Amino acid sequence: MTQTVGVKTLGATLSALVARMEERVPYAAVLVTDQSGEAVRMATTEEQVSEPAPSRGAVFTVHTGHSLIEAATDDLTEQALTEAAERAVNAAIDAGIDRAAPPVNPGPPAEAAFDTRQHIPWESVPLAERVQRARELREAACSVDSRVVNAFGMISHTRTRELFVNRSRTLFQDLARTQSVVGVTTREGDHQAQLWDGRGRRGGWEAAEMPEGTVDTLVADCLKITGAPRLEAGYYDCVFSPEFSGIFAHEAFGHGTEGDMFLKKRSRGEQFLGKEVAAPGVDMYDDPSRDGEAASYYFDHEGQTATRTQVISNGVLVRPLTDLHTAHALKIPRTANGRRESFSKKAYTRMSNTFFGPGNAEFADMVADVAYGFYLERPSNGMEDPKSWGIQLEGYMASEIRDGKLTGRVFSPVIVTGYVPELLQSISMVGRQVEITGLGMCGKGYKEWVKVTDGGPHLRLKARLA
Amino acid sequence: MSGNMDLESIARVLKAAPGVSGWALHARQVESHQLYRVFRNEQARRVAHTHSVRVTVHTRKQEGGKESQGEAAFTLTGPRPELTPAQVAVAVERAKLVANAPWALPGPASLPQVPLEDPRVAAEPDAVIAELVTEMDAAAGDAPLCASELFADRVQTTVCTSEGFEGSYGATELFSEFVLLADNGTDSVEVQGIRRARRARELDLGAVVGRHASWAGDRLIATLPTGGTLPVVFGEESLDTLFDTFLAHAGGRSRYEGWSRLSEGKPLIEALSGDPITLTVDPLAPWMLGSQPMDSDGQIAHKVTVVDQGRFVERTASKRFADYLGIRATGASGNTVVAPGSTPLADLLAHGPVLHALRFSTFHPSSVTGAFSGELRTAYLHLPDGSVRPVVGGSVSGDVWHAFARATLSAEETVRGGYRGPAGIRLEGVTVAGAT
Repeated sequence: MTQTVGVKTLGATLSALVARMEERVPYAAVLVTDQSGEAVRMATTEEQVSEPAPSRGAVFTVHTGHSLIEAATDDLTEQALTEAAERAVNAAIDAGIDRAAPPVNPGPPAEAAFDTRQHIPWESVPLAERVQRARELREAACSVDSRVVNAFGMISHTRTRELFVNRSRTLFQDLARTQSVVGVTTREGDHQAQLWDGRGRRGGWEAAEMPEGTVDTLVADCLKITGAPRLEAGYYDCVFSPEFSGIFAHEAFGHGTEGDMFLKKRSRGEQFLGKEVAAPGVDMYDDPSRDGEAASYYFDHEGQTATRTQVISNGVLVRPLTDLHTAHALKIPRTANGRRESFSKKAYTRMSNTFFGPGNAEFADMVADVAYGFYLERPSNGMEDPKSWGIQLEGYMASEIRDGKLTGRVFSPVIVTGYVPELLQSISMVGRQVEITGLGMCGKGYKEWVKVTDGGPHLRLKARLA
Repeated sequence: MSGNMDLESIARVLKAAPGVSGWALHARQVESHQLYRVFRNEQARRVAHTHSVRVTVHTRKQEGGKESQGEAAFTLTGPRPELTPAQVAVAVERAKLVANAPWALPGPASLPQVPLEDPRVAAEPDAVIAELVTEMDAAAGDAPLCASELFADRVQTTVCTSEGFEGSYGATELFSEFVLLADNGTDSVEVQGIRRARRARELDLGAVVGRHASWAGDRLIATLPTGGTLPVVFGEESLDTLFDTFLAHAGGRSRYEGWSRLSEGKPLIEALSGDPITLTVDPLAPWMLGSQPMDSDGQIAHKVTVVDQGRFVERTASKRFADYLGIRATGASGNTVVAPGSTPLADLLAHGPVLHALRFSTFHPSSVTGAFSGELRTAYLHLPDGSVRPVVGGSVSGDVWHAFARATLSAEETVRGGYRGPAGIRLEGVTVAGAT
């Protein structure tokens, strides 16, 4: 529905503008983004077919030698783009240009266009079929049990076209992402519970396929937590599900190794580069180039080509993630993690697909020698403190393990708190199979939301639960 | 404000479109001035202009003798948004695939006058930001202020509907985020603050930064709390979300979806032995962050006493859920206003051990279940001998339905963003996880 300008066709105009800007400033770049989509949400009590608010605009960046000056506009006419470029340059000159400062490296020359492969293009599937699929998810959830008082099926698709131009690079990417989600609300007397599940992948309609059994398991789990008691607070042996491992990776050393936090002296990780922070055998990565994942891309919002970064190798903290300004200021290598919520927001160092690497343990072996502990599933949210390495992870389900067996007793909700290295060093077993969850979003602190995924294998560790 | 959003032309296209039974336009123009600093150096300065018009189209159809309503929405962007008949036709086709219970968009009404736009912020955003920087730096003193972000935004919102409603209002918003470090030579810690307000006066940045600087110093000597069951006095940031469960269960949506626990005229909490609460949703309070004279449907906002002296009185409801439930439409949201109690805050903290919880990593009681958990970022343990010990880490957890059965509200009030109410709320029997 939203009219997309030919973002890709703006390359020549923008190259000329950047060249003109660099007659007066040492470094200039521009990013144009055009994001649109569709969300079909069929709930028991309300149906919606809508377009999430699109985001279309350009942001011009100037580096003065010390700082970044930017001007953003949602007007993509040539005149408006020229005016925005001019505003950025004038503001930079007002702020003061330092031509003696080390120059920004614009990256190796490149001119490339990247597309997401959609096996079944989203637009090729009639809307009626998309609506029907969402209704089927809802009906499947409602039909499982009469205690389901509300359910929804949602299928959404996002298309993002991005063009980055600086003096050396002209890069275009067309990213398509599809997500299917099913959610239920259950009620038994005065007890209610709510859960959702689904998957998000890069791609077209084929990515809307929900794994078999998802809905039945979801409803069963939601009923288990309806009125479930909370567990007694204490330190326990735990097994984290791949989803829980994912949120742990994200909060523990995803945020802790965002390089802009180093620049602000907000990360203790800076003092631990090259040092052991986790148990031997623990590996962690951030990889925007991972095929098919919902948060993958070909280049970041500052023109850096996407590659995998190993954050932790065999328990040792290897390197931080960076954005342009951070890498330049700290004189460390760039990674492809300079990302913005939209053209109207600033770029920060942000994660992409963040996950623990695989080990060689089986789930059954992880549970087998737990005298008393919990299997944690269905995380809801998390928060970190990269300076003090405090962490909070919340989830909906803690299943009791006694004498090496799951007893079937469930507690809800559950909160994990602790000191990050203590938790990481308590990891005693790492599962074989890495699973990535594609439904996540991440804020920088408490704002600036970008698409991320996280995951990992099952992990066995000790943690403080409540 | 830049741009010239011609809503009349858009409305004309909608009026002429076949198959449209109703429509609404929700337009926003935003001018955002943003400053980012690393320590006291400018890292980035930005200005962003954005424009959007959310177009909602309704259709009606009869099926099996029952009328249903179709709905579809899309957004036009850019400073000169244009709507074509072809776009409306696509929306109508989309809407026809949806079958909701019918509800009517709001009709003509006069907009309540609520002061939300500070002329100074609107006219001189960069000057206001510069003054805030000065105020913030002075309050931080020698404390390392390692990161700060200051935004001054001006937003113009306009809504018009097919039923004849037209309303427009301007608002300003100041946003501040800052991080203070503290270091004792062997350890260093940070305290992050976030504050939003319509005007510099309510932002009160100097005082806020000063309090955070004090907390940063205390955090250096803070230890894990001892685990157990304790009375906890919730204050500062935790007050922003403490009433979210009650507000969700008091809303039209939860009733319509079948999971509201509340019935009009019945007690909010059974077996109450603490202070009964009086909870009002007020979208018309001058300069408060949750104030808005109308919601995005064009429903005029009303102040609603939701809970009066512990008894549930009236639901809040958007026009949709009001029509579904046959109740008064009050508008979608507003500020949370809680009547203060009669006990001085100092008394709530007396006769320890009592935990005074001010800041959490995150604190969001479940809207549905009422369960809450939060890792402590800034808290003080008040001990029986009158001494006070800063604590950090560990968590508090509980359930608002049980915890508010024995609540005591402070006599002192505080105003922060979209909350006005007791500065401290003491809940008994909260689980504290910490050192074993």
